[in-house]
Amino acid sequence: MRYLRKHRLLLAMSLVTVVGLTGAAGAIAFTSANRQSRGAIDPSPAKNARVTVHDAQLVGGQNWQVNSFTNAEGQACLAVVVPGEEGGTGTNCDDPSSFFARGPIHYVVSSKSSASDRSHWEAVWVWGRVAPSVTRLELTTATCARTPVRVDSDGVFLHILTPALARSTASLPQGLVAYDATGSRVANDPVPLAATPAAQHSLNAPPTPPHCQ
Amino acid sequence: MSLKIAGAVATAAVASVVALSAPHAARATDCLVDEKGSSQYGSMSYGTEVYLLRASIHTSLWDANSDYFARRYDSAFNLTLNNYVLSGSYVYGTSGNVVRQTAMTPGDSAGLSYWFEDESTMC
Repeated sequence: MRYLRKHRLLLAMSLVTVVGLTGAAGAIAFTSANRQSRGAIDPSPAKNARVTVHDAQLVGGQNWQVNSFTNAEGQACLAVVVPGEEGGTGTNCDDPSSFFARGPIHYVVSSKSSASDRSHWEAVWVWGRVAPSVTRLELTTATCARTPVRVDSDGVFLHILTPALARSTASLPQGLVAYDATGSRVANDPVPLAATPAAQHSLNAPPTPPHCQ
Repeated sequence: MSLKIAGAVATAAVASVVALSAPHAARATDCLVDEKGSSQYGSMSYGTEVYLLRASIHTSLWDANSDYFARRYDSAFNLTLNNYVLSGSYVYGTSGNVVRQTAMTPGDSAGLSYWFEDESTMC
């Protein structure tokens, strides 16, 4: 029901959507009165901006890294460097004032397959930042097992499931749970991991609410 | 959230022929065709049945309001990269596979409210 309500809200918003073309290459961006333009973000550090390397990890023999910087638009960006097939850099940028407007965890859930096996995810990674009030972060799985998520002093985290874990349905992430200094739970957010590539036609599948206690 | 619309298959098949025979310089808006056979780009009504007709996909964003999915597909429309973004703006850059021919066949449908295609000039 949550998603149905949100779609109806979006329908109203779409009435004021403006479509525009940016650049000769045909890159297309659009904005509305109530939302930021997507796809037109500047994923590069602003001139003279400091790039902070928050976490570098060797997983399955491959190097992963998450960096932070400010882009030319003044947005705070996190960039995850993903190795291997379907590798590249995923960059999430947002106005710092809106990071925690919906809760103390601001996150992205990502997964990729390999060219040789579309039936499973080859890697799953959850990344983002938490509000200063969060002192502990956990990932819950489909079996309600809990895994600590390492958060650095800037509140940035990158949690990677190795290929072996990504192939195991029981190990796939289901939720993110945050606690404050008193041990109180301050967030319990869903991790809407997409169906495996073999079941990829389930576009826009709604997230499964975490039910673990 | 999927919504099937009677007659859409035939409509989409016709539209597909049109899209494939369009000159290379055709507008990018021809990539996206709704169930009425008309091209749209950017936004669509809730419940619109959508077909991507030979669109070259780098990253497509399937919106679920302020949080959304950014996805990439291979030539057989296998999902190869998926990103659920709680908020903010997301872009994925890579040195390879920046242009892919993706065909969503008639019958592949979803109630999509918002669509974005990046780096596409080939529709």
